Amino acid sequence: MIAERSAGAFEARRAALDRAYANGLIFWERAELVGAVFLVDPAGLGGVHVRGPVGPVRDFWLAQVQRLLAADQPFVSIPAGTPEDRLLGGISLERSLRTGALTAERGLLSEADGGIACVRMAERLESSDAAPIASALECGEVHIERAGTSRRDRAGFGLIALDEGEGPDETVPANLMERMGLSIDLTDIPPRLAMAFEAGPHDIAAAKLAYSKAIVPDAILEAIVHVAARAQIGSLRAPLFCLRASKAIAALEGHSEVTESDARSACALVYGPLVAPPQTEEEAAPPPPPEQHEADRPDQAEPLPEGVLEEQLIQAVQNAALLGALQTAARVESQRRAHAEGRYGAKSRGGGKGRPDRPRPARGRRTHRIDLLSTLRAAAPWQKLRGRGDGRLKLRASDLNVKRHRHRAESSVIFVVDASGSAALNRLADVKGAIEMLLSECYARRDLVSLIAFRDETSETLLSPTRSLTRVRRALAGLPAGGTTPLADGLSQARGLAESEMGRGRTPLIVILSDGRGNVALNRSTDREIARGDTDKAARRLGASGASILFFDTSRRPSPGAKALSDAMGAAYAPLPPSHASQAVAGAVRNTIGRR
Amino acid sequence: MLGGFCVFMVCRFESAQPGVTVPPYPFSAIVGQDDLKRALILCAIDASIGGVLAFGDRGTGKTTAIRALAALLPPQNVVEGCPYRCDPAAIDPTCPHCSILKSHKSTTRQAPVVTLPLGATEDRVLGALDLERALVKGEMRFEPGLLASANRGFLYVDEVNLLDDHLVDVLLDVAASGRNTVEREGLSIAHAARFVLVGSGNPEEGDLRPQLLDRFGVFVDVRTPVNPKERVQIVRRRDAYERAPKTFCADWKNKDRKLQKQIMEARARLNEIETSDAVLETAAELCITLGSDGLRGELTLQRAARALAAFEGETTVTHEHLRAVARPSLAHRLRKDPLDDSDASARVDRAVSAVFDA
Repeated sequence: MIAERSAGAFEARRAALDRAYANGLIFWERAELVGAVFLVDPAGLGGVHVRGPVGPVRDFWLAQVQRLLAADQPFVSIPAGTPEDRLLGGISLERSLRTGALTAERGLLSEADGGIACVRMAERLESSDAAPIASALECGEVHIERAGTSRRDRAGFGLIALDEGEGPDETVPANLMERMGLSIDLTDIPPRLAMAFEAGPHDIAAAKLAYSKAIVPDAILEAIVHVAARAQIGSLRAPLFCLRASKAIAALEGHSEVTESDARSACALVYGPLVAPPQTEEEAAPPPPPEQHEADRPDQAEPLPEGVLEEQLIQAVQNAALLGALQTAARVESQRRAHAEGRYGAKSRGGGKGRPDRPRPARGRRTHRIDLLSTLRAAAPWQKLRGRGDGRLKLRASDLNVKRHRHRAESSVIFVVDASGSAALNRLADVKGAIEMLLSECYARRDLVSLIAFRDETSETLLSPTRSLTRVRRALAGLPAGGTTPLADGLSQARGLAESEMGRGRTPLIVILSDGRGNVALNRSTDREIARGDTDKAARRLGASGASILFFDTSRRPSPGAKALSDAMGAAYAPLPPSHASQAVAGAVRNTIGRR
Repeated sequence: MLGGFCVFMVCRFESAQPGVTVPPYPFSAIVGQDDLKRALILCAIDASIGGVLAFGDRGTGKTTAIRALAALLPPQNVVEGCPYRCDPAAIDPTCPHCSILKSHKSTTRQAPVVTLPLGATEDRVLGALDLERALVKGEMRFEPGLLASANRGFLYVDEVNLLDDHLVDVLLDVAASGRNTVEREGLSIAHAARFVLVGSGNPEEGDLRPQLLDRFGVFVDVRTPVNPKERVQIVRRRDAYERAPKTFCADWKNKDRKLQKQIMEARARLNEIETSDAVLETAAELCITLGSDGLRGELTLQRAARALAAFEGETTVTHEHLRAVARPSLAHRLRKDPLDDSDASARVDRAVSAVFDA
């Protein structure tokens, strides 16, 4: 989809950009500028979202950033899966036991105060794991209230979030993204193009001084704010980041006052990654109407002032967005190929997975890890009674508490919806009704819901797994329909999503609503034979993924073809009843989930 | 913000650092977000309104407004050394600290705005056995938690929809009863914990359980400002604040003081404000029209209208006051079909015009 749109839409501009894109030079220059700007005020700019695989280019960029740090600026690396108490601070068991008094220690975030914290594999963070980091970025301090400790530590740092995610759905949680002002993508830069940053540590030091005194002319400040609004960026953090970036660029350039060209660069850096690439006339759909509160926003009618400067800035943003789109387009294409060749992700799960829960008395449970803190807490009051003569702690079996990891296997319901022409004509309304009915069920159970729709030539994940009903409703309402039936593509995309959900420790349930008449092959050809072969293969692969599958036949009359397809993937098959469809679907899904 | 509390809790740890020295952004310097500001002010006037839930877009200054609130709250008299912040004029007879003392020394403190960080554990929220004392001296002593520190003030939970369910349950239970009862590790303790619960969050991260929504007194739907002038003003002020925080705060101090004085006067007058039967009837009619569940909505509506009247210096509650607080008091209490797309605020507005303009 993305490849199609951007490649088709920007043929003209693409030719000009192709050469630069091919050698990745622009992207490295951009990464270098981002690095320098970030270092001028790491905490003020929030952070850099670094997209790209592990490799020499990423390592080199990080090394360059570290080279430019001042002597007193820490660079703290936070590996994936760092426990919360190490991240935020808390009681140090080691020191407490050694000194005999409770001793607290700072966490990694607080150790990064004044410098940079670098989170690895940030795409694996859940939004609840990311929330404490986001809150530290917001307040410049870490505040913990846990396990007998209460403390606030200064933590004014800038974040580098390393994102190795594949595909547009796997990325850093939104609450963290929102608080990082800058973003780079290192994926397609060949190692030979990664060159040392031009600036040295002294340049950054000088820029820091100039930054604190940099003046922003009123016209430029206004333009920066207006451009964000025109680019449909609602959050007010973005213009603030942009303002700071423009000051940082001015400082690096040796300007005492932010110039128009500084502002242009800043807009491209900050807003570029946030906006969708510009669209051509026939493609440009009318912007979605603002959803509600139309009536109580009289001020909305006021048109945004437009000026020459603003036009320039918008142009800068759009060019940046276009570059980004070209980069993504190439990636999506190569991933599609990789996926078509078949690739199974690791599904193994380590023990002790899940979020730590409250410790519980051991009572004969030998297999669990002992929770020292709560064991001490339980033993403490009895020390006098038990007579502590030799200064040693007297522990009894009844004191032992074990660690528990809450691992309620979350269900993740993946809807795969046939939005092709044949389905749209017949049953799309029924299908929507059925899904809506199910949603209220999921809402009560607090399951995750995602939505894949396939039509025309490809399938698209309209919604990656979410608990937000608001988003599900929105995606469902805007479900486009019509065209051919690329069922094979839909099934393989469902498999990809199901496997990624299993990798996160969730239990996927795939609900397919289709008439089973796939007529587009994976290579997008409409040859019936190839299409049928691909569909069948995709169905069997999906069955092998181990996810539970429900297949609802949306044909007018139950068809043997759909039944055979359903059997191929080992799914439970049911025809979607014409009316009251909703209850039937909801009932079937409820039973499937309940059985687990 | 909670200087006293922090020193008290933290001084035992050797590597503790002093709190952040930058003063918080002043409340009166916040541009726009009038609904949120008004909701906070009304709860500062009358704590029995029952808390604020601010839900909405990212980057709209929810956290800024709540942090700024601390400076507005009138200072209060507390018993010196009492971790539960007892009022010397009305000492809680069950207070674990004050009930065993013969005489009490009074001191003036700033009202607390306590933040409950995500990931907080139950022992620090409710209070638990003081581990160090127990280990070193073998003494059973209760170490008060955040609920004790928040007594007679505000308790703020950012991203409340990400908070563990069991903690949310505890919070709401204590907020409703005004008492915190701890039965754990051989301790049995109860103390007063009356606080205004303020929650904020973003619906895209996940919805709040419907039964929790109704427990917050007022609900504010926070939206990104769309007026270009307002947006420029917000960014400009923020820039000025960051450039020189101390000067900026000094410039706004007078406005904050004025607002604080207004809140104090409104508090003092609150009980003299009269609500006529006609206004009460209208409030009831509005709730019936909307089919909002239970009496909680009606009570909140009355109290919020009364606090607004007091804030505006009036002596009686008018229909205009009711109208002004109808949406935040009722919009989150409508019986909700999770698939109903029609906006709750719009439904309240329709009911308001139906009842008032009839």
